[in-house]
Amino acid sequence: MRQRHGGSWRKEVEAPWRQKPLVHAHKSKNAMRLAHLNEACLKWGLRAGQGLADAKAIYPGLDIVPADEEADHRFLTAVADWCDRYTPLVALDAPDGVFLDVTGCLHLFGGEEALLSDLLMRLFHQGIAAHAAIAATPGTAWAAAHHGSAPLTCIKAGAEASFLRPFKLPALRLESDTLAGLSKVGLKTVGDIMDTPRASLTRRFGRQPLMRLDQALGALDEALSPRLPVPEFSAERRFAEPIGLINDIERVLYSLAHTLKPQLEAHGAGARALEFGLFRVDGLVTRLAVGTSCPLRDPDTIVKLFRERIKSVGDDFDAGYGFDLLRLNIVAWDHLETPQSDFDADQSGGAHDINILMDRIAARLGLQAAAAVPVRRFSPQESHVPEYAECLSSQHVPVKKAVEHDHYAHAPKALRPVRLFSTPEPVEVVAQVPEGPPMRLRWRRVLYTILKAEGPERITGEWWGHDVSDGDARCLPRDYYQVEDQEGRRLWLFREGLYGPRGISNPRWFIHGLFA
Amino acid sequence: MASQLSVAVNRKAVACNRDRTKTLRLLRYQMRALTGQVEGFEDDVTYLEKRRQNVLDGRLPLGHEDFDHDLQGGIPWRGLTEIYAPAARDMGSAYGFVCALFARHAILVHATLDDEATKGTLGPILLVSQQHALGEAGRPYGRGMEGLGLPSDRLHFVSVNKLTDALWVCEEAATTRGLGGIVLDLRAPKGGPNLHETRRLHMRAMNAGVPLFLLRQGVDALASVAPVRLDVSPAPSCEATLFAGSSFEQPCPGSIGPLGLAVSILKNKAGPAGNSFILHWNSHECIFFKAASASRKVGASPSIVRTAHAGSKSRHPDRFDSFALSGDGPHHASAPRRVMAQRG
Repeated sequence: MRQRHGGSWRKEVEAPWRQKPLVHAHKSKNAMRLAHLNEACLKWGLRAGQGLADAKAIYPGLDIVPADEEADHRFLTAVADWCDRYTPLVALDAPDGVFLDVTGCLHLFGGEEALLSDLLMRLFHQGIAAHAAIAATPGTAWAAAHHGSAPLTCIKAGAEASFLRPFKLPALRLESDTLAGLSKVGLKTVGDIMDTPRASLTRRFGRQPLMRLDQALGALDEALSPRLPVPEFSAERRFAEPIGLINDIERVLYSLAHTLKPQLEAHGAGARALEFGLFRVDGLVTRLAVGTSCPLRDPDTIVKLFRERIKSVGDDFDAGYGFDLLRLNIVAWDHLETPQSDFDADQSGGAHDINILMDRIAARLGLQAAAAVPVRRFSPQESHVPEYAECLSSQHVPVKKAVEHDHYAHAPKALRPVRLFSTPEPVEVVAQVPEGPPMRLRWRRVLYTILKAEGPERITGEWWGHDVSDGDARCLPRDYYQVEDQEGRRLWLFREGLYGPRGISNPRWFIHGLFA
Repeated sequence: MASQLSVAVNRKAVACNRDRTKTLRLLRYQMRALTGQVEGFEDDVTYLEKRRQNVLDGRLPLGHEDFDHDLQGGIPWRGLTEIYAPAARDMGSAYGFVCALFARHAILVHATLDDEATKGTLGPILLVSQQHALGEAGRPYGRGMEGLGLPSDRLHFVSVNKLTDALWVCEEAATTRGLGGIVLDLRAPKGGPNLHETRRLHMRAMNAGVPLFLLRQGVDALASVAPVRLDVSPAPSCEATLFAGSSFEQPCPGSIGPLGLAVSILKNKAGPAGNSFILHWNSHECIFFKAASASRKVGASPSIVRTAHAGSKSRHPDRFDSFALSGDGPHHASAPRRVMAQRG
């Protein structure tokens, strides 16, 4: 809808599409049914859950859009992202709600009503119709937002019971079966449940009705699970006029990093992972994250890292009409001691510069790199199978020292190639005797004549952890040969499987690497 | 001469007392110098001084006399050096050659420089690879590089999709203090780094004193400002030696011993270009040597002596014959060998 009519499609009250019934339809219980409706549908008596055929009979010119649950969820997540501007504790309430824990944040926005009206005004300008309520418990706020008549409701603490009394039972977030059961015995409103003896209610309908009621009244705590972890260090800046130039953003970022620096110093901490949130005026939130290989609190370096990150986002980084809120979060931190400097040059031998270089590469290539982690190190593993004997790990993971760890005991005695194919490539091989070394081979349509061969080096499959009977290739033994062709090319070949009654009928040959 | 040399050794040995392995390595070099067992190792105490000068002047002597002579002392250890592999399947040799250079540099630096100066010279090595190059010729394998004498904990590996990203990484790395070297591995038949881009890379690496090796697979030479351009292709290896260094020393026929590399100097600003050399790498001593003297002078470590298969003896006298058409790139692998054959 927003794409069809623009982001502010709801602002034009007199627009023709506001007057015409519009429904989202989805397949449910083997029939196409209405999922969501606009206000105009209510005049015609349409309701959610109604069959699409019935609805078309009532209003033949119905505008029908297929429902897309994934898109709805993406949209809700984006709204929740945007709500981060009010509080870091935002929880999703699928399919159409968001919980905000604004404890301690109200004074920043001038009180409850000021916060709600600001939120509703901004959402309205983004083309979103919303109801909002503030209450001491999530249950009461939910009931007021979903079933209250006013779009903006503030309920004082202690007034929940009197407020909820006239509400219908669906306001308590009960399951449909329970609702049907309660309705059969004549319990229609929340007040009815409050007046009913608790023991008999629990005996007949289970714990749920009273649990929900207690949660709404505050007798029982209800935990919200926030989407994102709350950062320990955070700094933000709001603007009366949105900014959009890269230079301005970098300047603000520098000032935010500068603001955080004394806090970090006081804790003896340095940032290991940072997140820069850019809140666009039209509701889009961009979050850029960088990691560092060593604890960091220097504002210049932080700006440098994010500069690469912004460049890597490239054309996707659209400032639109500008950003009105920028926030720098430190998601992870580590202890950082301030080194005692002297007149001598840097004694670390440039290690700090190299760490910064690696971080900048990671920031720049984060999205476009071929691998998930752009800068990697060779880390030996305890395995005899060559492709598992070494993995490329993140540079942040310290490489195990050979002397400290016993992986060196597993280091192969025979030579290994300098280039290894991640997936061994099949080759056609002619050998003098079935279990002998190859004499000729064809690899990538080129024929090679083998002059020298060394081997075999048998590497048995790692039967543990894999199902041997499954015929898993990782369980088959491999006979590795180092061979040299007539031009001097040294290749690493292996024959997978064994001949004979216990082996497979036709072992295959593969090339696994290139020697120097 | 011998007494002067022994004094020098003692002084050096005391200076390096904290690092036993370094001292042993130095003593081993000195012993070989005394007995004349190391190829290209002058029987003179001034050799150490000369080598120290070479390391500090930004030249890496390979140990092969003629090759070092043509390059006026060795491979430039500062700025851009281009290394071409004729095809993707020859990438193992080209990559191994670069690894061997770093291994040799490390051992020369350890042997000639004291601790303080070593710190800045043996920094981490950044391996930058284009993703296409990895698919075609396999990924670098740390255990294999360790076999050539280059410890894998010095290596940082970056794989990128786009050429511009690869060049950006190299440019940024070339200006970083403390880096030991950069290896850029490209497979871009068209649209590789042009003259302007190689100049930027070269100037930055020169200023920072960092060696930058540009490896290219399966392409013809393009315009660049690199002072040295080498073509590295595989050459038959030497035979391994059994019981090396003992009275039972004997070559092992049909075995794959110290690897061979056919290195042609395609471009050389400091001296003559066009010559081709067969170099053999001794990963134990970290030195390149000529094949003829291999069996006698350069002993393989007993730990790497292996028995060859009985049926694998050389039965093909025409091993230098040119080959079938290659499927993965222009086929000019045998050019250097033809030159050598003409020269006898």
